[in-house]
Amino acid sequence: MSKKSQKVKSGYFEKAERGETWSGIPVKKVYTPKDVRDIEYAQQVGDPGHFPYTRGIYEDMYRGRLWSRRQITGCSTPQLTNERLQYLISQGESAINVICDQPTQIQIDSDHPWAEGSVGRAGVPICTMHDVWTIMDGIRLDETSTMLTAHSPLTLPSYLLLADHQGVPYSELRVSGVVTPPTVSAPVCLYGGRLHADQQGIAWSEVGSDKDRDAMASMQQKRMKEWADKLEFIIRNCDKMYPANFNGYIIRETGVGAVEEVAWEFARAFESFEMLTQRGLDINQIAPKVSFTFSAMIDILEEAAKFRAARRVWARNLKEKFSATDTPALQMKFHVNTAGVMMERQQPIINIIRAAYGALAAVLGGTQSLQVAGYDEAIAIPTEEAATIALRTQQILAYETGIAATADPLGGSYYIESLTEKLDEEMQRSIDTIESMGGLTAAVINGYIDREMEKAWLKVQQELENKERIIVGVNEFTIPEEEDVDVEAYHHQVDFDLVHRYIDDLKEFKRTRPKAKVKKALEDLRHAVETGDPEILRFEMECCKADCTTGEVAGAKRMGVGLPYDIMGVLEYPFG
Amino acid sequence: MSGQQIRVLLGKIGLDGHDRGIRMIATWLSKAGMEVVYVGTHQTAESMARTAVDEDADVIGLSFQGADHIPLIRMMAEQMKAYGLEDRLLVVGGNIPRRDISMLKEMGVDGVFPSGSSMSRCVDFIKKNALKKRK
Repeated sequence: MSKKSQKVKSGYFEKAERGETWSGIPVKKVYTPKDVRDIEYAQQVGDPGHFPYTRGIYEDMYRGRLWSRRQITGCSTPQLTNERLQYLISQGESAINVICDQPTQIQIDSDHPWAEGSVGRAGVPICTMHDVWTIMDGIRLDETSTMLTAHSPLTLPSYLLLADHQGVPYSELRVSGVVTPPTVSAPVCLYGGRLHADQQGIAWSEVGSDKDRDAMASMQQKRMKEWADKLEFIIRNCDKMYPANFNGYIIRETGVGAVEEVAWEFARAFESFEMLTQRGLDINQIAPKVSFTFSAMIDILEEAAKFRAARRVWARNLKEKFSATDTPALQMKFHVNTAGVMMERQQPIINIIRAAYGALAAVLGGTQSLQVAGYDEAIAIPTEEAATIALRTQQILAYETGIAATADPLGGSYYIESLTEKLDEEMQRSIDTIESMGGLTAAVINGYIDREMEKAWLKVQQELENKERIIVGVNEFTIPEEEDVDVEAYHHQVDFDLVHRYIDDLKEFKRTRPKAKVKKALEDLRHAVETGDPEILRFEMECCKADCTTGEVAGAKRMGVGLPYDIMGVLEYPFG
Repeated sequence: MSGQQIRVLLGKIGLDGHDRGIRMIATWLSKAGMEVVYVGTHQTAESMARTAVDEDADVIGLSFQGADHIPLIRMMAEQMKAYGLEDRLLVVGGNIPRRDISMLKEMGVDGVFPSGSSMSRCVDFIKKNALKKRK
């Protein structure tokens, strides 16, 4: 027999070897009514739209409203980002999602020495209010659900000022993610996360050290007060806003499983709720203002079950732990990004299929909003072609597959209900473990989270090296590098002269604006933060109007809580 | 000089914080018997070069997930020249588009291991080349 026909023969007799989910939960060869015998439908599952919301938060789910088709967008300049947004909206995108570049994410300006080489590479730079307005140019704020992760402290104040400019009342604003919770998130134990924590005034370098505990505590209290004040403002004035977005997606991207993704971010939300309720806020008012971002990995059924379990765990904990009574407080709302980490560099075109499976899982799991990664995710931010295919993937799901016609189509499957129950138990166990340590912040400080992450990713990598876990095109069914498709990366399409011009314009803007106004606005903001003024947001809006920049506002706020002006430690406060 | 332990300096330069890949390769290189110093994220090209001199590193390993590899590796190559480190092996991993690889090699990168590369292949490459390049 030739070598080729031997291969065909062994292929014919090949078995599905893997007997566990992608996260490592053992899976039986078959599930029967016996596996769901102990699950009480009314108490543990419930109809869609009814406690504990396993089957979805609305009775009619997508027949009532389709999920938001919301592609993450962040091109090299505010102008290019606006063009891409306008394009995607013209192609049927129903909501928008803006992501910033690395410098903006740690709140330094594009002309900062550390920003060199990173401006406009992994998202859009936002240095001034005008950048936010340019990004949103021509987009009505009352008509467009917008996800704006509050990377820059200018995001929310600029957005509110734009609403004033457009004549849109705050009660009509549909925006989420604009107020970052000032609590430690799990990936903060990664080195990259520490900078974010420090920028938020959590001062990672001081966490866990005996040094200056009082200063740390007072810093944390100031940030928590600011957050609570902003939430109260939004609860009073912005009925359609979901200001706080808790991000489990980034936890999953570190390499841990479905259980940790949900449990660790829930633990963070619960820790935040404890602090807010201690300040006298009502859980029935806060919880409805919270939404989550989760990942959808490749294991379709595990992911769908994960979303079902997450809703149940949320509803049960809110009811039992926080005595929440109002329906919106018990309904866990979420956005899904199909996992970036499953997008491979090898044979990149097949990522279209992976992303489609992730998207399918998200919709089967009842998501409210979805971003599908571009097939070039492992290389750069998406080209227009990749972004279009990702949007079309969502549209095929919504309009062709029939999947949106009925709520929770997987409900009642022996495997799905059994796996949902298993994930629920594991998530609850993980939450309880973290709370027994004193909460997520404590679990990060004592090293538990870091150890668990490292354990998880080393296990996965070892399985890949041993081919116990197969990724098509990566460790099996590979082709020589030189025969592979060479997709064009976004950063080859962009004229980086535009980025240099953006930086030059920023320098010129800083040079020519009325400096006395800038200084006064920054001093007022710094004083407001220092004294715990309940209207920090108003002072931030004044900073926007006075042409202060992201780095300056972040710096003034850092000084207000007792940190040095520049997070990277190279710039002096320019108005001292 | 067979039998001599290979000294590897790993770090990330620039603002990108994605460090799973580099922490993973640190584990694999250590398991392979090399002495690994991982200095973390948010290094500068200059600080990496200075540390490489202090640690007498045979290999400098960098990882990029922020699409900023070209400008940052250019800076690294300049600093390696300034610190007289041209005989050290420069290895790069991460989200590197294929068409950038030849440009990186021209800048002085010895080995590129893009996302999805097998850990053992990278370990083998460093084993084979680290001490050979060193004068």
